[in-house]
Amino acid sequence: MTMRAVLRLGGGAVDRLDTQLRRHLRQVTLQPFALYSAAVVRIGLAGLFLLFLLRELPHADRLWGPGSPFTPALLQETVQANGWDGFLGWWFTFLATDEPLVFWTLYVTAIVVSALYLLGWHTRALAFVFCFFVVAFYMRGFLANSGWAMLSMLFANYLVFCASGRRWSLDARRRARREREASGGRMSPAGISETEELRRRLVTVLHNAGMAVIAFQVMVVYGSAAMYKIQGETWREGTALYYALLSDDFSTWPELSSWFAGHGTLMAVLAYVTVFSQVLFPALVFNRRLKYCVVVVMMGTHLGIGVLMALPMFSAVSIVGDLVLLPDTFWLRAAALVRLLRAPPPTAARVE
Amino acid sequence: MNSAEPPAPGPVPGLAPQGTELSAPRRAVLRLCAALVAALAVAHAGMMLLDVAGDFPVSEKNAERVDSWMNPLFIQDWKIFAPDPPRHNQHLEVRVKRGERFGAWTDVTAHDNAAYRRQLLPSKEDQLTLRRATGQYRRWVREGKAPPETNRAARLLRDVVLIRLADMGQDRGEGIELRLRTTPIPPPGSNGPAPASSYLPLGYLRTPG
Repeated sequence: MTMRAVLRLGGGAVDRLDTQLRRHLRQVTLQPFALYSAAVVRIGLAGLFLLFLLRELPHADRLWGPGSPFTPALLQETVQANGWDGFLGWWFTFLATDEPLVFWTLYVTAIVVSALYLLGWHTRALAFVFCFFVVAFYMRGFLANSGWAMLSMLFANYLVFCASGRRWSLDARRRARREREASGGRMSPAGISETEELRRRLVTVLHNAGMAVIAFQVMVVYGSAAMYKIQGETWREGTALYYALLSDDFSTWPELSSWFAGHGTLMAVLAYVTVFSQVLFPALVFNRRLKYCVVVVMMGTHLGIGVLMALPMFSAVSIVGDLVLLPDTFWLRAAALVRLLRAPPPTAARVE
Repeated sequence: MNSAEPPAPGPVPGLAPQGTELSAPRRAVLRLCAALVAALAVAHAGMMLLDVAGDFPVSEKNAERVDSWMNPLFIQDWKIFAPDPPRHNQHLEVRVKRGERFGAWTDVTAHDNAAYRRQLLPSKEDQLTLRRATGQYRRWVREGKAPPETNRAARLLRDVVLIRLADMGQDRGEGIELRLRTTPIPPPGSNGPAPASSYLPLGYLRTPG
């Protein structure tokens, strides 16, 4: 083969790569990816936050309200000490008030906002309001924020950029009805102006970037959790779960926990499974089949942590995060399966 | 994300772009904005990595920039994933001073633990508030910075403890003395006598009048 032929071959490959890249770039502006996953994150996150606010109703006054030992003055000092009292300072101290009436009005508003966002009513506007409240609650409870609070705030922030109301929402239902009425039953999209097309493409770019960042965030969470664990001696020798289960701070049912802790070999194996699945997670999710295996393992560990180690909210929001990585085809098949299960038995349907 | 997946046939034609050709100026706007969004996303991802890899030389050099980009809205504190579970249990004990005499030691941690046990959905107040307040206070004790009256961590822990004492029906007295009881967890497979606890005095905080 002559040098020239090699160069020509290489040039062809570059050209192919170039056109392929162009096609991908064009698709990123044309096709909003993973709309179902975005909807699932919205529903999961808003539902969990709603559950959280309702569950903490009897404790809300002491956690975020006028009865909190973390007084508005202490919050103010904390915000200042961290240098966060800039132009967003009012947002971070938004819930800090000594007036019970003001606090409870805001609390009820947050409950209503979570419920509406869950249902997907004016989703994009509600995404901003929801994010506003989640951040405000995070900052007001800065003294005692859990992994759940941190993850939910991150997801709420990123979801602002995503089109999470396109599927499985009141918005989608209303739009579908209108389009059916407008086109007389046939689904034919009406032509749109060029400016509208440009707006839609910009929204699509933003959505795709937002979803990519959420997926990346999930990988970073697992990756860094694995790195921290590898540095720990107890994880290396396989006794980490033993000590974690016998900790007074993380045992919903101490008897059950100590029963598990009594099975040393099982605990060591599970400790290694935990570390390895977290180390491998960022790599495995790129494989279309292994993705499901690693997600199932992750859900198993989350369920165990949630029930045994008294961290249900954190486990639940982590599971929601894992679901980001499942493709639309998965959600469509899941939805079809649910429809099939809910459909009347065939004998009843055949009666005409 | 899943660029290799086939496009999903949505139930609604909906709001997706239709792929009509754009005029040159609009195409320029689209390209500029798309480039900007992509750059922001990549920058954010980079900052995220630098933030979680705090000991990395590049992270150390840019620590301030990373901090101002990420915190508090995109906080990444994944150390809570317990790098190394402690091999002991720690409880905060307090006793109230009334006049010249101290009352009996009370295990405040046990009070909170009893409240969260056997609940599928425990409250953050019983689970986290006292532990975090104690942790902050101990960090302050180690650093020995400001006198307790002006220190945030001390004021906070004092009020957290006073709320719990009130729940248990104890009065506030003139002040509270604190100590930390540490009980080792016996290593797996050992069946000797239960290990003895040790105590660390954590000082005395006056109750505000």
